[in-house]
This record gives sequence, structure tokens and C-alpha cells, in this order.
Amino acid sequence: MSYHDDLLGHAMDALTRASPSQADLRRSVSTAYYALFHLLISETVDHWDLESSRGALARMFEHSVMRKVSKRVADPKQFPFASNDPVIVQRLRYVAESFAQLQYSRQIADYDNSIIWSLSDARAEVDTAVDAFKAWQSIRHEKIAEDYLVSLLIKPRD
Amino acid sequence: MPMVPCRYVSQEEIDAEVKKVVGNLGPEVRRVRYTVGEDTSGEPGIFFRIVLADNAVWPWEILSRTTRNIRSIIRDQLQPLPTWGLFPYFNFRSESEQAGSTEPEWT
Repeated sequence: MSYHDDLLGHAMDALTRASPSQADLRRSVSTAYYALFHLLISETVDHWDLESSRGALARMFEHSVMRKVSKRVADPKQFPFASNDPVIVQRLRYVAESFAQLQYSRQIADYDNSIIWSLSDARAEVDTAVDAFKAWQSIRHEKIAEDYLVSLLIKPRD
Repeated sequence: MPMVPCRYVSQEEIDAEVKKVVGNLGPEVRRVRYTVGEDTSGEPGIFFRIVLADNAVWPWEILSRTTRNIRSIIRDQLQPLPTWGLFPYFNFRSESEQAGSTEPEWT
């Protein structure tokens, strides 16, 4: 099993306990984000032919750059994708929106102890990651999806 | 008046648009609260806090379907990102989980 699939499994498992603690809920939300983070990195570096340097390439990704790019891709005003299949565009936007949502939630889950997480909320976050995985699988060979992967490495100009 | 990059929008305008969209949500949605502000990265966002009926959150498959539909309706009909530059964030609770909560942003 790949690392990102394993992480997604961990995120789900933590929520199936009889009475998950706040630590369980927070770790689950955080892990769901990292599952999607590593999925996108893995998909990007798989395109790199030189296998020995894939690890170094994977370490070049920055959370903030990936978030900014994802928010732009999610915005039809900035990326209309007018000539593309609307179903593929919708799924790509879902992945991008999910990445931004999950990164925000991870920061809250990891650092803001004033927020009390509910089981429903943590499950909704994990569901977002699960759905993003499914959406990604259905578009991963599409050009706009591959372009998105490359863009995750490129800092947008503000 | 919240200020977002390149776009100015009044709270009244947002209130009116949100009210319209919330009216299109199903009976499983008991309450919707929202605020406009900055996310953890200092970027503008609109933060929805949604309380769901207890029968809409269990089993897990029902919660998945419910939250997916609600997010989709709000994103598609409100379009806060292209319209106002506000990225939509969502949090959910059931009525039981919300009962007794005194957190002002949820009540």
C-alpha cells in the first residue's frame, strides 16, 4: 500500500474507535490533510523519469505554494478552463478546494486548542480527503490535472 | 465592511446572498452561521458553521452525502470565491453535538 493510502486509512481508523478523544479527532483531521498532500506529491514525482532524484524533488514542495495554487485553480475567474470537459474541471476544482480546506483544518487541529472538534466535523474532513482521492483517480491522466501537479511546485506571482 | 483583495463587499450584500442560498438547503440543515475573515494564512475566507439534524450524520455514509451536497450547493450557488474573493470553509456538527455548547460563533 502506498504511503498516502496508508495515511488515509489511519485517518479513518482513528474515528472508528468507540469514543474517540480530542487527540484522536485532531490527529485524524491532520492525517487526512497529509494523505492528500502526499498523494499529490507522489503523483507529481512519478512523472520524473530519473528515479534516484524523486525523493529530492518531493522535498521541494511547500505547503503555502500548494495552497495558493489550489485556491487559484478553484477560482473560475482565475482559471475558467473554458475549453475543457466540465466534468473533469469540476473534479479538478474539487481536489484543489479540498486541499485548501484540509490544510486550513489541519492548522486548526494541530495548533488551536481552543477549538473543540466534534466527531461529525472530523468525519466530514476525512470524507473530504476520501472524495478528493476518488476525484483525483478519475482525472489523474488528464492534461489539466497534470498541469495542476506541475503548478504546485511553482510559486504564483501575487 | 470586510475588505478583500481587489473587491469590496458589504456585509449586507453577503447576508442577503447567503440567506437566499441557505433557503435552498434541505431540512437536514438546522442552522447555518457564518463569518467573513482571514484564515490561518491571513487570506480572506468565509467560514460556514453548519448544524445538522442527528439523523443526517449517522451512519457515516449519510454524513458524507449530506456534507457533500451542502458544500456543493453553497459553492455553486453562492460562488464566494469568484464573486468576492472569499474562499469557503465548512465545519459541521450534529444537533446532539451542539447541544449545550456555549461557543458564540455556533449559537
